[in-house]
Amino acid sequence: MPKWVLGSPLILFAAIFVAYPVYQGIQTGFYGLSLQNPETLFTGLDNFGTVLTDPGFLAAAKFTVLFAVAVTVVETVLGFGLALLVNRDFPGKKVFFTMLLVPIMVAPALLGVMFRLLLNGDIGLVPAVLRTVGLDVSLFAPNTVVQLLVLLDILQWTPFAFLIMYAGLQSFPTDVLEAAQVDGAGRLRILRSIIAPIMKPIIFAALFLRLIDALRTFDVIYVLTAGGPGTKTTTMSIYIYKTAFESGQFGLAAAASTIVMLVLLPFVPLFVRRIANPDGKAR
Amino acid sequence: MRFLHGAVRPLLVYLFLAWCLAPILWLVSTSLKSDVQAFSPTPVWVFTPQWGNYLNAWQEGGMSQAMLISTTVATASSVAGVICGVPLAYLVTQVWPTESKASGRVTLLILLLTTLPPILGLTPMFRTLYAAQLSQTIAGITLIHAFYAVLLAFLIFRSFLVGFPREIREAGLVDGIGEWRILGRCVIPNLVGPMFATLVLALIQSWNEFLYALILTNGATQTVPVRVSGFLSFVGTNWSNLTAAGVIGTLPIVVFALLTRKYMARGLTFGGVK
Repeated sequence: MPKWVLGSPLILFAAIFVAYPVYQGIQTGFYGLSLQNPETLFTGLDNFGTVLTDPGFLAAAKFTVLFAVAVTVVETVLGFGLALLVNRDFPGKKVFFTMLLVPIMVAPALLGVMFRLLLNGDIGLVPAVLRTVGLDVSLFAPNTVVQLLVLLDILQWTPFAFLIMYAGLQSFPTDVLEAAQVDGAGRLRILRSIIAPIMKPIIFAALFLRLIDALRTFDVIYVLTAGGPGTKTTTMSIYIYKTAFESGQFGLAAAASTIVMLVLLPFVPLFVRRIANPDGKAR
Repeated sequence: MRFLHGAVRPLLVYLFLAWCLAPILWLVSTSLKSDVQAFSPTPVWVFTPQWGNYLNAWQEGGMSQAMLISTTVATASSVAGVICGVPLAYLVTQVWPTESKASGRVTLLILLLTTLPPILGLTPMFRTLYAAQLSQTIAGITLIHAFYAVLLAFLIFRSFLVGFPREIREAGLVDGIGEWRILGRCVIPNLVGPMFATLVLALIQSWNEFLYALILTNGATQTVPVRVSGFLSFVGTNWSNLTAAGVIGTLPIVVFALLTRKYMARGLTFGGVK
């Protein structure tokens, strides 16, 4: 049997899921296709112009980037701190690890539902507790909703950042630490001059993975606020989803997708070089 | 950092854990309350468990159907992912040297597909499946999930096979046995652990996937997350039934996750962290 048969799943999948959809996605962007207007009418670059001048698109892009950067930084820092804390025996360590996996495993959509219950203004636990201490605030009000979503993302994904960095700390060369201690280096000094530099690739891995994931956030926010109030919490995913499947503007959605893809593509090799080569060779 | 000694360290760690688990515990407790207690404006802490909520969610709430569909979709797609991922990772690490251009290109393509947000594929995928008359069918959503399973499987298997000695394959070729035999007799026996882990991670990924499932399924083919979030509008948000449905839909995944703790870090980072 020829060699290429080993790669046939790739060829098949590439054809079905990559080549054709990419072709169709880009092509659709040049047509005025929508549910209201199902005839395909060539409109050239009109869709791209419409999307790029749509304040909703630009606001979604801005919100997505700000949200993603904020949660990524906080989660990585918290995860690193936690990994340092846990990197020593304490009672119930095994149970701790087991339980920590639970938030990562719960479907984000379900987590959204869960938060809707917890934060519900009438029957939720959190507003009830806040009321007893005299704080009668609506958590979904425009001035608190963004912070709220950031907080919820941190709650769900810090364990993920933690797990990556804890795994990294496990393979940490302990003899280096011992040598430093013998030389009389203080704890902060060890953290800054030894642990941080050695852990740098792992920290980058956590940062990149969280960033990639945060940039595509859809489930929790869609279930929780559906992008509102107004369009305040509309991420890029929600924007494209709504354009295509609520307004039925397939042409516009395809154009927006193409633009986002073109913006993101240059960053991928960066990701590849940083973390995807466990053997450490750049190519 | 001296204050972190003694009892303070475990205390901090457990506080963090409590913060992460509190919402889930509240979900479980609500699922056992009566409607009146679930709707109470002041939190109810003491109550007799209402197991009937689970029966309601299972029967009238359609969770029995959603669980069956999710099980089918997740099993089929993750098995497909592992079956396609193993030979592909073998090709890219053993047949072609890891340093070769071809190997690098395939890996880059797969990382590209893993990195780009799935939303970008939603419109074209919807139209492609629609044209193939697979939209709103179990087969359609299984295909999409299988695609993501192959990406995950490839990256995990690649990370395990990168260090696998290529001499074994060369010796096999000298002895005149073909690539598939080498794969089956020499490589796969060494991949049993990772294969199991990949299977479970792909199962979890498919089980929890929401975006594609939301668009590509209808009332008769809804997967668990779509079904559960559907409670929000369909039943006028019956919180006790909704939360019971949520617990039903999450329990199998949590059990699966605990089975593969060992491989979690490697799987979650697509093999990027050993």
